[in-house]
Amino acid sequence: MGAFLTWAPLLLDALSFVLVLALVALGLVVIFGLMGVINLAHGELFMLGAYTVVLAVGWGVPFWLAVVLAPIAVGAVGWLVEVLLIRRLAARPLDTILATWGLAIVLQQAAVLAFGPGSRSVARPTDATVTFAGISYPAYRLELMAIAALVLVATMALFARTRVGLRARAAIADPDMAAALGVNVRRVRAQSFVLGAALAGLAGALVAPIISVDPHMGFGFLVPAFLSILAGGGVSLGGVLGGAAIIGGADSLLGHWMSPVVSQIVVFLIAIVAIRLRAARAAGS
Amino acid sequence: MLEIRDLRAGYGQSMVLNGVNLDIAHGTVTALLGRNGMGKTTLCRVLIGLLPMTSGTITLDNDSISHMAPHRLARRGLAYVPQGRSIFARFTVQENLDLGLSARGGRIPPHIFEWFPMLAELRGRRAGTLSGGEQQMLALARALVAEPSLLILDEPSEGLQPSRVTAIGDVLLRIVADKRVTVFLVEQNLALVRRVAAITAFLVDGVIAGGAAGRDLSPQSPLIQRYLGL
Amino acid sequence: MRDAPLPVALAVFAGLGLVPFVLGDYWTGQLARYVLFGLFAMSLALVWGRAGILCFGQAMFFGIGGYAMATVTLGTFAAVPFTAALPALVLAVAVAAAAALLVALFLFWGAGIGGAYLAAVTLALAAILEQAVRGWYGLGADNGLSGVPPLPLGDNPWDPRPIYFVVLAVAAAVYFGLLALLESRFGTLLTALRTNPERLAHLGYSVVALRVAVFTLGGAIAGLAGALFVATDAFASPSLIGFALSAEVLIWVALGGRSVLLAAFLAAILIRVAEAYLSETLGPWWLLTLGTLFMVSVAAVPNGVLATPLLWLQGRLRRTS
Ligand SMILES: Nc1ncnc2c1ncn2[C@@H]1O[C@H](COP(=O)(O)OP(=O)(O)OP(=O)(O)O)[C@@H](O)[C@H]1O
Ligand SMILES: [Mg+2]
Repeated sequence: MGAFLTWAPLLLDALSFVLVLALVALGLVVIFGLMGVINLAHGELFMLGAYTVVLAVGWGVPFWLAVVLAPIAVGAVGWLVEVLLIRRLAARPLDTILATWGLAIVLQQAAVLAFGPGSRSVARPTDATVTFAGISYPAYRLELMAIAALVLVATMALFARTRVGLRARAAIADPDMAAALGVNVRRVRAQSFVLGAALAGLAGALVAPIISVDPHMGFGFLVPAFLSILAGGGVSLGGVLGGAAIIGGADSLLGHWMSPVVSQIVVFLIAIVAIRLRAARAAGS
Repeated sequence: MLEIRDLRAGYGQSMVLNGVNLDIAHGTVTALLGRNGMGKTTLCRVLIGLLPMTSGTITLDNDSISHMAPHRLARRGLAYVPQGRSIFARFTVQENLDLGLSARGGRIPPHIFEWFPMLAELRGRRAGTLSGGEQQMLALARALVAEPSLLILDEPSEGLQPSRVTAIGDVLLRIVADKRVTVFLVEQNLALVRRVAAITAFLVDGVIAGGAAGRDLSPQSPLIQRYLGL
Repeated sequence: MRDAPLPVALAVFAGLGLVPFVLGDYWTGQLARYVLFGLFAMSLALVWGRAGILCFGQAMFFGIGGYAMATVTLGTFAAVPFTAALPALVLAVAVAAAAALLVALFLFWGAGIGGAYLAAVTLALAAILEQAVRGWYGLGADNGLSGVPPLPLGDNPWDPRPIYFVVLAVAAAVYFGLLALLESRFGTLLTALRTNPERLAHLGYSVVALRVAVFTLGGAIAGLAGALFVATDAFASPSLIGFALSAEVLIWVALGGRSVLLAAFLAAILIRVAEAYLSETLGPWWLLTLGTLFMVSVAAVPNGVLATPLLWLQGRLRRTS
């Protein structure tokens, strides 16, 4: 019982990290799967989502409305980025890694200039805690997990069950044939970039009350999200959850047994080995 | 309904089509014969907009469609069954058919399952698990789901046993009998061409080397002799 | 694939040789460091531009060379029986090359990985290594190792001029050495490796061996640059080994021109000089400008801002001769 009481909150913390990470990673994977683009500015889109909430709440917008505004605002930024940058690099997918890295630097510095280099915070919408089986846990974190899980399921259902999703999957599997059947592949790609950006923005908005918001916060999420999708198998949406569970779970739980440095190293090693194995298997089949 | 004038196209520096001229009349089956590597697939890909042409014009019902994007051409009524079928192997049969609706929306017309009865039972199967003949039928059905006005078929009989080839011929005869679909059939199977095509053209070295009315394709005709490499 | 025109390369190195007679000691010392960053950039241009391996962790080898140089000359590990600079330098290059060899074997063995996967794995490796160094007290952890002895050049070891000339001579030697190598059959094979590895394999060449060879060579050059840098700077810090410097060198090389060694070399120096002058006055605007330039050049001038005119000139010269 005592072990349960100490472990349950840790597991819940890990789960909330995994779900947020999966949200960020899902945005990345939508973009990667549909466009072959590794968006190294994804962490900065996440950061913009968090700042949207900080600013909006500062202007007196109710918290939950700000959480709805964030993905819309970041989705709009994503649309601009797609039109001005990504589209021009369609034939050179590897160069988009570099270009989005440049964009990441630009967005980071723009945030430093606009909001200052220091960290900001936003009050949680509620300080209530929920007590269950002897454990009390912050209500906001439970809400966050529920929303993240809901959005994950909804996004997956969008791809698996709707006609729009079917066309998007067709555009991934065989863009030429999809186009010949009447799918506007270019538009599907642009939409996917906007959707991916919006997911990053939502993730940033949701975590804004529980972490400190600063211009460099994106990188800390980009790397594990990036490793999650590669470890989880690239384009499979289900693999995202698995990858996020491995990377995020290990990241937040190992820290309790070993020094953060060692746990980080272990996480990266797990990721590298998983990526190497997957890539080799993909090449072999 | 389709006019191709002085069409040139190729890959990078190497030209494959060197001025193709061809008319496809409304409500007919027009066949194109040509030996391997003559550029038949290249011509199909240009027609459906997947490969940019270097010069020339294509007109569909008096409108220029020369540089239209593939999805627009699909919405204009062009449908394509590529060589090698290009079905979506990991999707179900139903999903493959639904994709055929991308060009116009709506629902799958019921006559599709009259023409392809076996597909009705296979709807839930993964397309990649179908036999080659079934996959070809699926590719044909997927194209027809869009109720196209012009159907472009690239070697539909390739790799199929004779009974399947006959079945494809049956379907083609049936859809043109309705006079709603015009067919452009690229083939190497002379028997199929003889059975369904009203007009046959020959592609040699990137130009149309001549044409013949369908029933005139006797093995003794000089064009056939040349086609067969005799 | 040619590099910059030979006269331009000669002029660049000659011009750099004259700089200490114009600038004071402080800037000569700084320029020595920038030349070493240029050498480091050349190693990435070789691996990425010439062989098509987009490595997101090239600083691993720069840092390993640097830390090897620092620990040997400081006598950190009793197991190494010498502390003299020259054998230390040789050992540092060897250790960096060995590390690159191991990484290359891991990356390319069997079916191997490429493209985005390779970028991800090298990025993660660099991040691991940085974490490891930051947590390793024997290496000074976050504080790094300071007091690294300078190269023994003359009576006053901190006189920047001899150091500068040695560093510049090394960079020139590596550049012209690589040029000769790239003009040889190895260079032809590298071009084939980048543009058409399947055909190369078809002709009976081992694609794996070629990739491993060029990656190891790149690692050795990066290690050489790192070792000399640490001796020049008297300081080995974790920032030399991790993701940040890896990304920075990528920006230099992409901006200069990935496939032209001289362009990468010059871009590293020019950007560092610009940074030294501008980062104080511009503050966050400096990085914003650099990021924008980088982004725009990748989209609009994929061959690089310096390499594009250099290659144009190369084409002109060859046509007239
Ligand atoms: N993607 C491509 N890049 C370069 N050349 C190509 C490409 N596709 C085809 N070719 C070349 O163009 C020429 C015509 O090819 P195409 O596929 O159109 O011939 P085909 O008549 O359809 O042949 P088959 O009967 O074998 O299907 C061939 O010489 C082929 O090698
Ligand atoms: Mg063909």
